[in-house]
Amino acid sequence: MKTHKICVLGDFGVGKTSLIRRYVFNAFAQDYHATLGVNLYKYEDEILFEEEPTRLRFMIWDVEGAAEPGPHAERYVVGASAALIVGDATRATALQTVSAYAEMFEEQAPGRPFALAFNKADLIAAPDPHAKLGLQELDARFGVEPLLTSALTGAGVREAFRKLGEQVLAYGL
Amino acid sequence: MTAGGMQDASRGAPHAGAALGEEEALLWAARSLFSRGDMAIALLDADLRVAQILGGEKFAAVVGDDALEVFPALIGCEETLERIRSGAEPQALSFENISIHSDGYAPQYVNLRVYLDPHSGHLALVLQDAGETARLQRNLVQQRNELALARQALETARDEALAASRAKSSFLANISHELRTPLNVVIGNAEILRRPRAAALSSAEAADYAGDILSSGELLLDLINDLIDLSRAETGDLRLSESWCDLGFIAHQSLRYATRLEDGRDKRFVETADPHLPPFWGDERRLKQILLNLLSNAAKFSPPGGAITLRVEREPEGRLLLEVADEGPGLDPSELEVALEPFGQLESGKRHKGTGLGLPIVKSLARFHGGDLQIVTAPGLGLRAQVRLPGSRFSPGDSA
Ligand SMILES: Nc1nc2c(ncn2[C@@H]2O[C@H](COP(=O)(O)OP(=O)(O)OP(=O)(O)O)[C@@H](O)[C@H]2O)c(=O)[nH]1
Ligand SMILES: [Mg+2]
Repeated sequence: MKTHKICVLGDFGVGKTSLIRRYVFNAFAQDYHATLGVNLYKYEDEILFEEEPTRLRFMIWDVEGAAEPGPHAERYVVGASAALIVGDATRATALQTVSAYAEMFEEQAPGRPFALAFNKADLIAAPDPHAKLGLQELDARFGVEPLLTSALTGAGVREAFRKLGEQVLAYGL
Repeated sequence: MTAGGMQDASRGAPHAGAALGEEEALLWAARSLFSRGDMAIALLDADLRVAQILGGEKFAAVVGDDALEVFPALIGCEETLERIRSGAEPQALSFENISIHSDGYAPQYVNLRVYLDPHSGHLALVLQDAGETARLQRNLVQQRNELALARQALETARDEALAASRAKSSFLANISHELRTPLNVVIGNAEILRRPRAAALSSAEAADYAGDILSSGELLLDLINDLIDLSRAETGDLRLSESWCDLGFIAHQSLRYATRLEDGRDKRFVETADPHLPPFWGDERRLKQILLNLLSNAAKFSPPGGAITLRVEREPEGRLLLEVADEGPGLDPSELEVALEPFGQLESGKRHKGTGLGLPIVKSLARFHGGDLQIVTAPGLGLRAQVRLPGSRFSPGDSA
């Protein structure tokens, strides 16, 4: 079975490590341990693809966060089947940094799928967070429907990774 | 001696004869590094198997193994590696500070670099323990990020405090205005009645003046009660006085009161309360207050003759639904957000009579009962205010 490299990218402290740990171990920690370089997680999941349960093996790259995608991040995405680009839904800069990472990934890995996750959704009280964060704009720009996630509650986390998995299969990667 | 230096030397050798001594020197330097165990070079064959290992005792056993198994960071890079081998890609593949997750252990960082060894035609993989440097780097990154996050949090808190203080100032300005209007009526009318000339007023006229004083006084009392409720809810000091309530009776009474409101007289009220609801554990006065606030809001915003529907029922999942639907202009999402915010809503509420504190109060009363308020609305489509309260508050004896 082929193993797919999935990069998790975004600004620091947005919850990349937390999302992976929620997905892989179904766990969450309040304290913050910054990621240096990249930390690899192996994970096997079963997803429904064209109504068939299909096993998928991931090598998840938990990449050091940075406000802007730099040469480091560009090098780390070499060979990635897909990327999960994460923003912090509580930060005013989320839309901007997520867009910058999406652009970088489109350029470095053309034709590879990516998902956009706005994390810490548990901290947002607005009745319509998509509108409040201006997420429709991303949909129009990248043709990718942004997701709201919370590593704390687990909401949307498995869905985000599985959606990527489905796309990886659909793209025949 | 660094991996980069070695790579340049092995690649850049112009002719083999001259490079030999250099290579020997290099190899010697490499071996002394390997003996410290912090570096290894692997040569990979065309199927990406480990053909040979130089140095790094711990790696000796992997000769013959699949390089993607031994170095999982290479997974996905097969195409890039092939292009490096064929010379199509002049850049080495290079990853810094890679660690493999193993729960409970501090990460072991390595730097990894793959390039074409022009002499053997093999791919050469240099693996270097990033050890102490990485640990220092990690501490730096941790401190830098923590500082940046703390600064962000401070800035957000400051912005929120500023916004809250602005909202409170404008709330104060608005509330003062709201208080002044009825107070002026009270003082003005009392003045008229007190003057000697008042004797000349007919008793009907005097009664009118007194009536205005009364209704202004009542409005003031409503306002002040609302303000007290809101501030109690904000500080958490609101206490429910709970008992078994008859929801049908509460709905009926609230509706009767609403039809007598000034805004309610020209509206059509429709009641669809389930007559078989079991007793409900709650604060009767507060439940009435929820319904009355919602009904009077609906009456305020509905056109003359507009229908206002009160629905009281138990949802299939067991929760109690109190819903008031109107045929008014509705709200767009940004207006809705403002309307739900205490200290934020008077601006638009000012166009209408009443305190304009209704929705925030309903929301906190619902929350004090363990439920919540939800608004379904869109411009031109009216507004449905829905309060859902926990099904566990229904008397268990008669779960209908
Ligand atoms: N409330 C809330 N906090 C979260 C959530 N996800 C992460 N956090 C917290 O945010 C902080 C940063 O989370 P990390 O997962 O370490 O962030 P990161 O993106 O990996 O950060 P870097 O490794 O520095 O790039 C931690 O204190 C987490 O507990 C979430 O969904 N909700
Ligand atoms: Mg991290």
